[in-house]
Amino acid sequence: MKLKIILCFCIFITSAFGKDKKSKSNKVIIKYQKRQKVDLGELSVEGNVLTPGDILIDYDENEATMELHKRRTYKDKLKLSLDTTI
Amino acid sequence: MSKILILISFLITFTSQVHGSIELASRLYDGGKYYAAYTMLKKSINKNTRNEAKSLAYKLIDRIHPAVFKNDSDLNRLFDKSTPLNYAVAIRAFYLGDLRSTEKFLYHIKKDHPSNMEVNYLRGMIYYIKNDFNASARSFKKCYIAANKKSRNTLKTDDYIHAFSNRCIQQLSRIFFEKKNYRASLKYLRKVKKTDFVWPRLLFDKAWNYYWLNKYPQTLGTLVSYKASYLKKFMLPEANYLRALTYYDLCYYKKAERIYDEFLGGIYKEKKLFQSMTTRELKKIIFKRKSSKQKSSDRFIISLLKGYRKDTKFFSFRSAMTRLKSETKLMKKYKSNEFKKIVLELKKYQAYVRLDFDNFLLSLTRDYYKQIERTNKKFLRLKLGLGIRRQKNIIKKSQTTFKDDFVDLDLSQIDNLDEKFIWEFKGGFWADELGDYAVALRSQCSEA
Repeated sequence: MKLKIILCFCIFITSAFGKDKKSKSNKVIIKYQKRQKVDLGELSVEGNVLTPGDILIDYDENEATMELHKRRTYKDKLKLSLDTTI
Repeated sequence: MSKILILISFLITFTSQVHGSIELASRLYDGGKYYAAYTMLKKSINKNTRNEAKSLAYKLIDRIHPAVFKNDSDLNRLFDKSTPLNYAVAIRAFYLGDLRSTEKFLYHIKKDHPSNMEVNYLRGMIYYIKNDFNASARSFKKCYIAANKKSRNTLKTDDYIHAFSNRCIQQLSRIFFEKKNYRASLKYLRKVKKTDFVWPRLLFDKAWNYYWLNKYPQTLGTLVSYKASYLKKFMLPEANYLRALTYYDLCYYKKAERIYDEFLGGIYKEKKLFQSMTTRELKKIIFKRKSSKQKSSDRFIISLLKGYRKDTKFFSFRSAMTRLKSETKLMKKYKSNEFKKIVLELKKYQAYVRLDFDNFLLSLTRDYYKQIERTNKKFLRLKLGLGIRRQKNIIKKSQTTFKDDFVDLDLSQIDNLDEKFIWEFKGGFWADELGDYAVALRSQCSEA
């Protein structure tokens, strides 16, 4: 029983002191710059220069051709067929 | 008791009146006064019509202009029963938009009916509207067969029957087109002889069939026929678009663009004329034999309308009006009340036939206007596709210019037609003096 109490006391002591040490060592002081100058003229962006035409070409050609009218039916001419016959 | 007597006397007078009107109708029919006979006959038609009236209706119905049936509200009382005037009632129901009743009345009409050709045409149209293509094709075939058996009469002349039979063929081919059986569609279109008046109208249908069969040289060649001065009047605005589309598919972009420019500078510029002309002006054009002073803008509408001078509607209008006028003139000689009523009815029929013809002219021109508008929209989409394709090709091959000259094609690559005699010339061939052209082009797409 005595042994158990001693063991618990030891664990408590080590954990309490250990934590205190860690917090002291991690203490960081952050200093911000009061002013920052950005020269836009000197900025450069990496990559290729694209023209609006190139953006158009990326558009899937099939999408455009699919929308092209290709006659499949003559239903639009039904009324005229009737009006001109009977 | 007195009430019964009144009822009996009413029944006696009514039956004697009916009997009298059938007799008068029959006498008028024998005298060749068909419209006057119809006014008397329709009064006597009911569910238990006597055989005499039945046989008279059977003979008479095919000699009356359909516009009379379309507008005759007296036929409304026959909507709930089957009578010898089923054909007339069916036409009225159809133009009132009642397809179910139309079908019901057409169903009762037998094969040997004198209007069997028109009956099957109507049936075919109804099935077409309902997307029942097989039934529609059967009806149009029957229409064609009936046309070949039909005997002419005062309203329906040989020319009328012939033009109608070609209409049956056109619809039949359109049904096969709808079923994506382009070869069968072409087979039916070839049944119409080149000497037939309707033949140029079928070129448009033919060209679309060739397009779907990927026979681009024939598509272009068929449409080239419209360049002939005689055939220009039969050209539909969409034919321009189909030409451009075919060139587009063959990668002749400049040519496709040029066709659009031609369209904008030509028929598109004059589109308003097709919407603004009154029926009076249109009638003047279609009936005038030789127009003295023609504006260049009017020239196209004149030739378009004159293209319909040999069509069913024109034939039936002319013969019906001549007959109605002569009958009215004759009936005016009789002073009895019965004949006065007949004269009033005949005048009404004249108005119906005239109205029907006016609607036909308006329908033709207004529809043409709509076609021009729709074609322009189709062209705009094509132009967008054209721009995309062009830019893609520039990037691919870093080309700044396009080869857009005609490339010669080996003529043996074009299928032989039954009557084809190939006469070679630069850039194409023709099969005979008229029609069956093919522009000899090879696709440029692989080269670009």
